[in-house]
Amino acid sequence: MSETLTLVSADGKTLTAPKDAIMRSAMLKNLLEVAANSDEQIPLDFVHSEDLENIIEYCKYHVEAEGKASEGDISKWDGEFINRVTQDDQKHLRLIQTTDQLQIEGLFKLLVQGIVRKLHNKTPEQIREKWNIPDDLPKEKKDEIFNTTNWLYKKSQ
Amino acid sequence: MFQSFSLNASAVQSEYASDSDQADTFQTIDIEQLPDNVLRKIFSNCDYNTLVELNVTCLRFSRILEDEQLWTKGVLEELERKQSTFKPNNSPWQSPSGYNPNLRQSKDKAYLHSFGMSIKGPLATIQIYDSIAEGEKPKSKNKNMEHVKNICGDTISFVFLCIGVIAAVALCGCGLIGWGFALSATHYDNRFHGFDYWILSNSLLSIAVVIISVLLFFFKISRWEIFLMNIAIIFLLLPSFWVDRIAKSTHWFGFIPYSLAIIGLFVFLIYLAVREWKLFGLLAFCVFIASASYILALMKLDEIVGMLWSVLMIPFFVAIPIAIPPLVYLFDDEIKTIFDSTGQFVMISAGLIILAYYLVLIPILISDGVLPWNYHLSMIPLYLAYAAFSVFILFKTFSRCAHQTHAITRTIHTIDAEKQMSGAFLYDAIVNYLKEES
Repeated sequence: MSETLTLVSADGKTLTAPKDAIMRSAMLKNLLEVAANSDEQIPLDFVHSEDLENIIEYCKYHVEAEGKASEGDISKWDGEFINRVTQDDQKHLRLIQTTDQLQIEGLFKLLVQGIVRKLHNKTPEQIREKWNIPDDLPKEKKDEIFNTTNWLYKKSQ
Repeated sequence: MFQSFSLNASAVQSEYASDSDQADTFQTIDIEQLPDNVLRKIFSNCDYNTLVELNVTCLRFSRILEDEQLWTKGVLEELERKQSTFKPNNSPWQSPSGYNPNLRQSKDKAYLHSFGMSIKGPLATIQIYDSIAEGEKPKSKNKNMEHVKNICGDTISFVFLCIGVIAAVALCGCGLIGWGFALSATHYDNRFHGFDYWILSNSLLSIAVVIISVLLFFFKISRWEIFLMNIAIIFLLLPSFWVDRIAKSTHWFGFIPYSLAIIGLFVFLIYLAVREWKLFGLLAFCVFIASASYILALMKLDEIVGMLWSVLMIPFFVAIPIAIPPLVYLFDDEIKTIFDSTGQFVMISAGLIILAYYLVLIPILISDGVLPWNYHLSMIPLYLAYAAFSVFILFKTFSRCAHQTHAITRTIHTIDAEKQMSGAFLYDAIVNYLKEES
């Protein structure tokens, strides 16, 4: 039976996960390599419990599926997983932030692609509205950019 | 150990939410709260169009996107995408303007500059690419197409051209009818009465040729060589029968303009034989021979020689009206497409009519004994040469009119071909440029 570790989220929730799965995080892997005693709980006070659950689920699946499931199956699972965890824009961003900190490359790429899909074919106004971004770009700068790329806007009119 | 890590992790997290409440940050995080490096990673996965939109979304995005590497990556991906949309069909590396895309590096920039833009950055390269994709005409050397485009855009010029063509056609028609009267008068009336018709007909034809020549030259449809050739024909047409009368009065002075025209045509023939032997050279050669035979006949040097000239040349001239369409079709790519439609029909019909006219008329005239062998037979090649030239010039005018009518379509096709070529090539050029710059 594989070794398990206990992780504590920022909101105090305790979760256990196989060490192999935890090692998918480059940051935690480095940590575990230098930390001899792995019996202690690992406090992750920058990770929300919901995100931690999702991350553990992702890592567990990939550890288990590695060498067993086909690439197609893994891709399909990834797609379903991403669709499920990125429905809420705020949570999506938070998960990206967490994944980046934990340095889980595969998951980070998937999450980034999800964001890119959400940004695709959106006007600046739609992007601002969707992501609560203030319109703080000076008019001069906007004009400069428009002048440089007006052919693009002309084409889309 | 883990405690210290926890502290470190908190320090890391402070990058995300420095002063804000941690719990709040977990609940409400916006895209702009993500650190620059994460945003940069996200942006690096965006396509070019999204990058452009993000660039004007907010100040922070714009600042991050000032990173040239992001743009270069986006640009290269966009170029690849555009490259894939260009589908060269027949011969992707055959430039209509004769450019050899295999010449790389040194000519790449020169070619890009031929689009009237200098490469100041990746954005400009995309702009060039899209300008081609949108059908803008690059500043190529194809001035004729540019000119046709301009003519189409100028209604007055086009109306002027139409009026000129109609006038020329009408005059040509009158001239040809006048020939009929002339022959008839020569046959049934008296010879000098017939000559009046000849002069009238040829004068009309000459005016028509002048109008056509001016039109062709004014609109720069034809090159200067054609213009000169038309002028030479006028020299032949207009004074020939005056010369004929003068010659009968044995006045040698009348031969000067005629001889000059012959010499001019001879020089022109050499020029065309070297450069444009295909079609114009053949026609010039025909006129030269016909004129020479006519001169021989007029000078009455030797009736047998004159007759031989004529007999030898008749099949040659009879063949001209019929030979023009296939010759043009075979050799002149530019008007090949026009011949495919109505032009070919008109040309062949005209050729056959002229051929039938003379084939029927000549035996009648000869059998009636009205036409002296030595004189009129020697003139027939010249008549045929005139007819062939008239039809040819008319055809050229008609074909150019058709060219005007279909200018937009042809322009699009040309640009499409250019685009296909340049699209495939331009991609390589830009990539080479970016590699050099990096």
